[in-house]
Amino acid sequence: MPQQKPPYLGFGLGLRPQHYQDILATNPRVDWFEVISENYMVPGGQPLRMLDRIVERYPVVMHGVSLSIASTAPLDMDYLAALKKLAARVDPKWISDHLCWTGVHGVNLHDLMPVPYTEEALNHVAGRIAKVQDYLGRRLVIENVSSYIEYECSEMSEWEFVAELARRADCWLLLDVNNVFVSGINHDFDMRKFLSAIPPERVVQFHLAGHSEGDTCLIDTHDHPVCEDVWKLYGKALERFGAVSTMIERDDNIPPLADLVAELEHARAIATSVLSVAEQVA
Amino acid sequence: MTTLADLQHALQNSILGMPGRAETLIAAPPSGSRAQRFDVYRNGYLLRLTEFLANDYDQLKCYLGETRFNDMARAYATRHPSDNPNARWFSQHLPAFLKDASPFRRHPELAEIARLEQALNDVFDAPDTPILVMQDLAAVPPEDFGMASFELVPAVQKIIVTTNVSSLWSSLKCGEAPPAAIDLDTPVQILVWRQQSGSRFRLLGDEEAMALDCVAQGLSFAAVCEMIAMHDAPDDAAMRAAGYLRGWLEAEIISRVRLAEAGSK
Repeated sequence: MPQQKPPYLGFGLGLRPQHYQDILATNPRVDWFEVISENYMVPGGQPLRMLDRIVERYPVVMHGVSLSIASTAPLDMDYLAALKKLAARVDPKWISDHLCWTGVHGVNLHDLMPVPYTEEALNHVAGRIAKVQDYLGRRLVIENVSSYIEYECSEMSEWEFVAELARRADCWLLLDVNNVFVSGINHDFDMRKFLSAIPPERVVQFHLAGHSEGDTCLIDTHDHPVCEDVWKLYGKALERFGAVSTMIERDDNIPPLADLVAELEHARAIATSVLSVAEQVA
Repeated sequence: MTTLADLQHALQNSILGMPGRAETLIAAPPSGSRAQRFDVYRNGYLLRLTEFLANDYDQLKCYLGETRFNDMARAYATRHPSDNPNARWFSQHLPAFLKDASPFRRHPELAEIARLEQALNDVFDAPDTPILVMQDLAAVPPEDFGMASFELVPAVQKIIVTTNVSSLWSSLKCGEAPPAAIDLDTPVQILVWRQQSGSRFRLLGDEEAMALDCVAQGLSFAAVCEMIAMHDAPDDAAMRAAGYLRGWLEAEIISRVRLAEAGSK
């Protein structure tokens, strides 16, 4: 397995069909794009044609939602074969998915179900990541999810679980800053503890996104701009992890591309400010 | 002790509306109740599947209206829980479901709107194949043309409908009130294909539908002309056949021309 950390890519956006034409016509100031792997696991037509054209112009990473790495169901080899085939076409800088399960017994819930933080789950997930990494011939990037429940049987904190998982599975991490915030509010934990437990050498990507307020907790909806509190937490993450490839996810109420590019400029400005201060201190 | 497998089984059952003990596995949250927190997942499941269906069948949603569409989506999701990691394929059983399940089967236009939308979705991201253009035919020697046969793009679909689904769909697409659904005196065929990356459809006349079937069966152009001559006025059968062929080429639904004894172009 290659040991070299993937390259720093700068500031990216999620590729969404609504923006294909704008991207191709205007070559916006976006350093890279993240594509949802499943959206391009189709036989052909416009989605793949557009993807090919974006790949010609920008670095691309693949982000999946259905690997179900924590499921106790057998690994879906058809899914993995499709993922590998797409990766051969795209040549992504890395492939990521979530620390979650999406279903068992042949059912897919199409949701990112949280994992109980137990030794059993740790061994199970680490073993599956190793198998997937062997199959794909590359290290996976695993993302922390937003959660609305915690389990009675958990034996450790989420951050302890994530840090140990990265060590045991020898995988990279995608730190979703909004997910840390959402789960931190929902479960009333200290978000700084989360950040300080994550090993910086494992983190290759940040996610930023907006969320909504539900009746009893925050919901990770990706339908709003990034809120001020998450920008602040992003600043804290930069202080700890340094320059990490950063992207903004938007999946609903998708605004014009220019709005997202402007939001990305805000991320650049925060990173420039935080990292230059860190440099001066050093 | 609850194993990971037990926990996942119990939670999934509760989300699917089956007996489960999910709430006993959840820790007391700092705000709200265990049930309220779990409802985020339980409610989210149906909302998400309904959204998948609405994305794939937007005209059906316009036709039914939001409330009835959502009720239909709940019934479909109960009968056909998603079994594919890709949401793209969750809705694939919907036309058959609407055709068979009560009360939807009493309104045959529902299954036919869904079938048409499904075909439009399927051709949109169907495999890419070579497209034959008019200039390619210039290379075919005139004396060989009669024995040439044509290969259709595999993704092209021909569906048979018994209601005025074409009019219903077109009105809905334009944001107009659809006409009343009616049963046709005789079934008609609809051609669904991809042209310049977009999905298209149109009604087929009996003769053109028959000619297209002949092409799909690999008949030579001369044989297709003969079939057309038997179908209607024989004098201008070749002209009509040439007209159909030109339309198919312009629509990008012909993949190859095969010359007798000489492979394909």
